[in-house]
Amino acid sequence: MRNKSVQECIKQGWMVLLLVIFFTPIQRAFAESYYFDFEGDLHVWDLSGSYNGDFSGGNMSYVLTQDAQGKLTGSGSASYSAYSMDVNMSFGITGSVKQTSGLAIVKMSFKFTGTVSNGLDTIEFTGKATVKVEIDSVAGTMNGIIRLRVSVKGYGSESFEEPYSIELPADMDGTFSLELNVVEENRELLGTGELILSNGDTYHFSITGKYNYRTDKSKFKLTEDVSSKGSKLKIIIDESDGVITSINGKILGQKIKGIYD
Amino acid sequence: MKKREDMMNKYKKYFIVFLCASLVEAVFIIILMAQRGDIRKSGNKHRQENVSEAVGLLRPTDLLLNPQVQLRHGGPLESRGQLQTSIPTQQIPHQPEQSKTQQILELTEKSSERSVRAIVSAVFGTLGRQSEPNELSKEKLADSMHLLFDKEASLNKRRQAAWTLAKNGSTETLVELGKAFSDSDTPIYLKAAIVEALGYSPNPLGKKLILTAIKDDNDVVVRAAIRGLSVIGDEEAVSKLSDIVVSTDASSTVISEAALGLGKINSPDAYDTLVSAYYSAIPENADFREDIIAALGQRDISETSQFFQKILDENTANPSLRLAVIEAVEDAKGDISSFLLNNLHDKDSEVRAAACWALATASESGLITKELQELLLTEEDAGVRKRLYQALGNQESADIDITAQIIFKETDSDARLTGYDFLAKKLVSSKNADLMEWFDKAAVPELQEVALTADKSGSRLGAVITLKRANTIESHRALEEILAKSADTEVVKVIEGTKNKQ
Repeated sequence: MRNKSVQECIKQGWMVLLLVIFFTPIQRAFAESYYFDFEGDLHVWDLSGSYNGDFSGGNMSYVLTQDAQGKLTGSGSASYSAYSMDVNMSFGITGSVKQTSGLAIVKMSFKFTGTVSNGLDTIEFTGKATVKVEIDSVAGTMNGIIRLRVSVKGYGSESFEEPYSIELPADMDGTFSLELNVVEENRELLGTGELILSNGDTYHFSITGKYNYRTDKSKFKLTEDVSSKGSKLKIIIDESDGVITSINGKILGQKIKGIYD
Repeated sequence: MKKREDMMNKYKKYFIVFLCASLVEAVFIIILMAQRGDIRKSGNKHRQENVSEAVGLLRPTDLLLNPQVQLRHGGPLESRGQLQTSIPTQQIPHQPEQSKTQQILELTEKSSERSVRAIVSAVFGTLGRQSEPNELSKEKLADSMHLLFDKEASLNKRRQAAWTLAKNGSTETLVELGKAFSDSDTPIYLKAAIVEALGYSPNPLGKKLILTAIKDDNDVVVRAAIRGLSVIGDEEAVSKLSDIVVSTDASSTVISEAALGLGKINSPDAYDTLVSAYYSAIPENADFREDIIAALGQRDISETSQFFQKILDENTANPSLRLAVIEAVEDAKGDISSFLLNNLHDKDSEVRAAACWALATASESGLITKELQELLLTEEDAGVRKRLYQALGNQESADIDITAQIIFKETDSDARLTGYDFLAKKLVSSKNADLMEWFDKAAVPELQEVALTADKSGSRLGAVITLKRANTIESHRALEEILAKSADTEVVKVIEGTKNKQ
């Protein structure tokens, strides 16, 4: 009688063990590194750089810097000589780069002051040029409209608009890569990430995430550090083939969205 | 007063000389082009005759909108080329090499260059109180028409030509634009320039072409057509754009452009459509709601402030929507300072930062230096402080001495560098020698370090811009050192550019 109950206990114990094994999620020993190149439909733009145009009779040059929130600031100057008159102007620039549904729009405002001189008299003028262009990733250009308003004290003002195109900086094509280094800690995935733009600038992130054993997919949340303030990304990776199935967030003020299921 | 009149007369004389010289040069340009075989005078005549003939047979819109009709009644431009008779190049007298005319042709190559010319033209136009004439000279018309169809010419030149022609507005010109638009070889961004420019055409045919283009397969063209339609801004335009905004077929970028177009139109119907679209959108459709907010943001703040404030108050759990409101106000007409000041105390630091940025970029930023300085003393978020320095930079009467004390105590490096940039801008007008010395001792070495070692190109260039702006003896010395040590070609280019100008 006692032997029988021991045997039964052993039998029941085996069953419990089997059940436990069957229903316990397989623990992955996570210490993964991922590397992704984005050279297709997703882009991140950094317009920091110098823009120059020397031409007969004059030149125009300006410098743009873009911060982690996609805000543009800069300054520049232009001069032009014709018909015994010299025109000189300097300008400050503010603007932004925004992207929604893959369409990147750049808005810039040039506030300028300048002088027209014939050697005897000098007249001062002020003005504002507003540029709105969209980025053509294929041609590497920004195309749109410039609206100008020039005021001369005591004389009045004129305004008009015309098409405007600018070439993107040589090292900026919108491609980027993403490197994630993740380890498992107390069933949570933790790590660091780097987003590297085509101009070599790197933005750092911290990563949290979870692995779902049922779907064999990992979900990662990339949050800003000092260098990437204002940026955030959510990524889902299919662990069976290591491919991103979804990416969604905001980088440098530009919305990024891709679903590849 | 008399002195001013004398001065004005003097500049009017210069302007007339300028116009005459331009005319002479335009003639040279045509001669030069003819020498290169680019312009075929008699060909142009034939082209106009063909067009006139075709217009006589058909409704002009048929020509504009149906390329097949063009093929039957005049043939495409390429086939009509055989009607054109070139001026034999040997009959053109030899032009001096690299003439001024040629230089001017090169001058129009790049848009950045064109924009300077545009500014200069505007300045001259302002001085002479002369607007660009609506009616183009025959030479300018021929030149622009040639450029429009010249597949060898840069896209930029062709877009400029399309713009000039569309504004001209004659039926014959629009017929040619219609043909260029219908040509499958025409680059998309040229098509876009054509349809957008037609919005400025006084000819009703322009609108008809836009309404056809709005059904195009390519979203770049459709968006341009929407922009053209919003320039027209009549009842039909409002109706068409409203249809697109509520459409379920159009792409999100097209819907967004239509909303922006409606936002630009000064009509109560356009405003109502946008507000109603906002409220009827499901909350999950956040991007659409943000598009509507951006569209309404272009209107006068007095019209939209209540609507925007309501969104800010009712959506405390939706930071991106609230942020969209503040960002939209950047584009608003009118004095936005009081609306933004209210939101500089918002609980969300991103909203506060966005409000500061809007003040930094605004045309009318109000006189709020004191308020901004007070906020700098209490603001805990470094990102917001950075934007506060930028907002102060847009204030005409910012007290540099008070702000300088705050900047030199700034603990966050990014915010401090932005503060230095504010100081550099204002140092020129400051008579405070101590401040200049302080800037040279504290700011210049830090800026030099950033220009040489920062990991972001934007930061390196930003430091160089600040040093250039400061224009002190120490900042010049620092720029020399950066030039000698920097491996960043962009940084070197910017400093060398400054030196060349000196």
